Amino acid sequence: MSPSPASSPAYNTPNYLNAEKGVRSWLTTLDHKRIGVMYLGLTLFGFFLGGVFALLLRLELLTPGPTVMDAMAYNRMFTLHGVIMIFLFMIPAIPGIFGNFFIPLMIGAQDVAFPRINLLSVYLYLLGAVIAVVGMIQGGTDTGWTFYTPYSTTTVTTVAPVLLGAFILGMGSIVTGLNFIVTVHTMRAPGVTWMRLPLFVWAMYATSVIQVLATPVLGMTLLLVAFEKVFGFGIFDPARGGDPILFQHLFWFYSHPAVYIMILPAMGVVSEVVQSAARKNMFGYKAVAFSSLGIAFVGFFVWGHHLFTSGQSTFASGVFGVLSMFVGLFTAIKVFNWTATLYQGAIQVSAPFVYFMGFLYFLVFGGLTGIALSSVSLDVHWQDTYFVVAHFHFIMVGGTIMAFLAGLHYWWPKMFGKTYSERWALAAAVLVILGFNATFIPQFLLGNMGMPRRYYSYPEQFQALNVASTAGASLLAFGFFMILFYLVASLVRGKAAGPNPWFSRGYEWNTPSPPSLANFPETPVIDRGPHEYQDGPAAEVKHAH
Amino acid sequence: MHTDAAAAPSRLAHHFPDMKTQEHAARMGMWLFLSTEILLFAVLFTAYAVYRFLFPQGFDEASKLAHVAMGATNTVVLITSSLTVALAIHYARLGENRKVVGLLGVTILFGLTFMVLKGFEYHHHWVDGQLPGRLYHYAGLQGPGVSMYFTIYFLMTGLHGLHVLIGMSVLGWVAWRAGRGEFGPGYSTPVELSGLYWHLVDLIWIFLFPLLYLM
Amino acid sequence: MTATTHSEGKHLGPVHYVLVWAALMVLTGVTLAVWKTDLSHSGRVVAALAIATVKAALVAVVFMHLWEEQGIARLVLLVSALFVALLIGLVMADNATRFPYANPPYSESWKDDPWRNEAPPMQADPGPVRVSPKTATEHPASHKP
Repeated sequence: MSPSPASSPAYNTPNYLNAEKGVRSWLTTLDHKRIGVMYLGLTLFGFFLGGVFALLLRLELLTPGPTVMDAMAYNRMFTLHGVIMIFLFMIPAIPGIFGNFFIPLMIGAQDVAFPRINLLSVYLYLLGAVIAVVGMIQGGTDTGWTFYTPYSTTTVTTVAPVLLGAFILGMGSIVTGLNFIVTVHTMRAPGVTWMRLPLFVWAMYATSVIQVLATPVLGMTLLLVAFEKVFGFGIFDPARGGDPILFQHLFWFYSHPAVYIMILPAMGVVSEVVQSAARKNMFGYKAVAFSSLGIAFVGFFVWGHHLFTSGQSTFASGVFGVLSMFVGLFTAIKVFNWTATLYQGAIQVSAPFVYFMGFLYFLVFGGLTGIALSSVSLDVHWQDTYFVVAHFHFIMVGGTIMAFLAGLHYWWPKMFGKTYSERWALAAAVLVILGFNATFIPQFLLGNMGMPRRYYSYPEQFQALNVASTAGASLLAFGFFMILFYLVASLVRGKAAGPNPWFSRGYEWNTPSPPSLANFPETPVIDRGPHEYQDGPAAEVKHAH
Repeated sequence: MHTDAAAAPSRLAHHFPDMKTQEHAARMGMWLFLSTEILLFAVLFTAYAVYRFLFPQGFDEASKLAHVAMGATNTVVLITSSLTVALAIHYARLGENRKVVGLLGVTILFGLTFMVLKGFEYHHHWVDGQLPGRLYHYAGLQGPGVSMYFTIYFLMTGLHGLHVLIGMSVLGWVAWRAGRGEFGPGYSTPVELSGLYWHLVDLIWIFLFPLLYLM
Repeated sequence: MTATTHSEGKHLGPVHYVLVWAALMVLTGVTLAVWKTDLSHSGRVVAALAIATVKAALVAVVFMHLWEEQGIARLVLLVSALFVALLIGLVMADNATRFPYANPPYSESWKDDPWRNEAPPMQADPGPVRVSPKTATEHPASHKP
């Protein structure tokens, strides 16, 4: 942690953590901050589970041929890994944790608009997670997280429970999004105009629009698969006139925008982090704010790029391919604005900043391979190879998880009122970024050489790169455990962080750390934009004292 | 839950500045929820559009097996029930809770009528073997796309029927609250929100009826 | 955005509701009348959908109070409608332009056979749609007393 003023040991003062005691007070809490903390625990557990399965996959791929499991077990593992990582971590994590915790703080509200529905979303998450995970392990689901028909409707393994689980998780996701939209519209404190909203709130707003509009489509589609599997309705069954490609259309109408449910909040987090780290206002506030909405909107027009090789018409593929490239346009707007914000800033090299730099590199690298993949002719070569796997892990893990970690380190002092060891944090950040590169760069190469995804075995000439990838994954896992270790240690013996250890001008830092139960003693009146570092970056640091 | 209609301020949750904002938030939340409902049905409408496009003849012949008289009656029933709900909202805003109870009661009866007629239709299709997918065994009409019509028919009307049932339960609960005299000029949000839901159910049927019965 | 939800004076009353109800009834009648005419197939689809859209708009604007509601509710409804159209439109655009045999077996698009029926079908041709007139009584299940 940067030199902390640590003047007020706020930890013994009343705050949301010690306002009420006991497990019951947590299970029935309506406080958005406690709900955010519950999401932190739950989604991190999901991340741990998904990570264990990822390591098992990498272990299996250490040698050609069977290493520790057979083909069927491998199929089940990657299904577990995919479903858990996407539905239990990537989609709910940043909205559930930081969205819940910080949106009300950032708009000067006491809570989200519908606190009871907010609590409901936690329980929907829990219920859906249990049904999905238990269903997958019991039934041995081997379809992959995409549940493609006709395989998912004809496999001998059980599929219905995980579909039901995903449906319930989707309801939780919808409820969260709906809550945030209404919160941003109706709960802003006096002075918080739309053009003064912190960029994280803008990103969460755009995310919520996708959650509300796209998730019902997934829910219904999964129910249709369940109906077909259980009752033989034939809706995706070619023998009864059904069109399996229709399933892919409906599935990706949600699941492609869902990629933006995962990355947009990440973009919001780094927008906050970069301003605080560079001690400068966002270079183009409006451009970044509206590009979030732009990504959310264009994200709905591109789903067909997942169907290039599955029988979709060449015409539709062309249209979807061109539309897909527009996403790159809006993402580039953000990237340029972030980098321009760094220019001539008084940059503090802290753990959040290192993660931000990692994020930027992974997003640009992953994004550019994405643009390459959106051209149909190239995709035909790369489709279903490790190139695609590496591409989306660069965006999802490299992008979203770097941003998640940046946010976690940036806001940790606010959420729990404690500082963590800056040295350990920097070391872990470097390890994680190195480990990540070592894991996935070999996979780009493997994919380009033609190694297909979703096989437990491979020809011998691919072994060297696979070993490198597995070694990288181990490094990555080690880095994550390090983070867990020093963050838990900071809870136990960390120093009091003080209300604003970063001297950030974000609205959320106007509260004590940890915030009190009511957030603000009285409704705040805001007379400036977020992150207005008026006096120039250097003066600002002194000024903050 | 407070029961006193006059105690409007007590309905104000701690995190809202005033009642107006709170009601605005509730209404906006309901509209967003309705949009999720629309997108939920959109999946089935898409499936309908695709399969009707792929099997025009099969859908044509199969839709002749639909019971138009009952479907048309149900359309009239549902539209009229929408009227009674709209009137209930009107009287809830005026605080005439007795009228609200009566109108919502009539609405629920209309919903019941709808479901009973729907049940008769289902029964006929069941008896004739006009069922979805592999369950289809009606000898009178065979060919590509025919069973798909019934897959879509049962999915769409089934999901819609489920929404009618939910709507009836919600309206029943609101009617019970109206019976306790809860609503008035300061507070009629539950009537309005449940009414919105009921109208959406009606609105979807307005599309379902011509698409499934009259093509 | 402030919290005004109903601007006074724009309130609709029972008279409006009954009028709209009557209009909806008439339009239901029109739908049935169009169905009975021997308009072309696509003509009927267009007519039925157009009437349904008008009816839906009436319900939304009057019964659902979009008339007096603030912009956000209208926006939500319009955006939902837009995305429904997007989903249906783009999926159908694919089905309509696909290589015929990528569509389900014996669907309409198989009739523009690019191979001129040289390749044998992958499964037995079910033939055209067949209607047998007396069937409702032919089926054993319908012989219940």
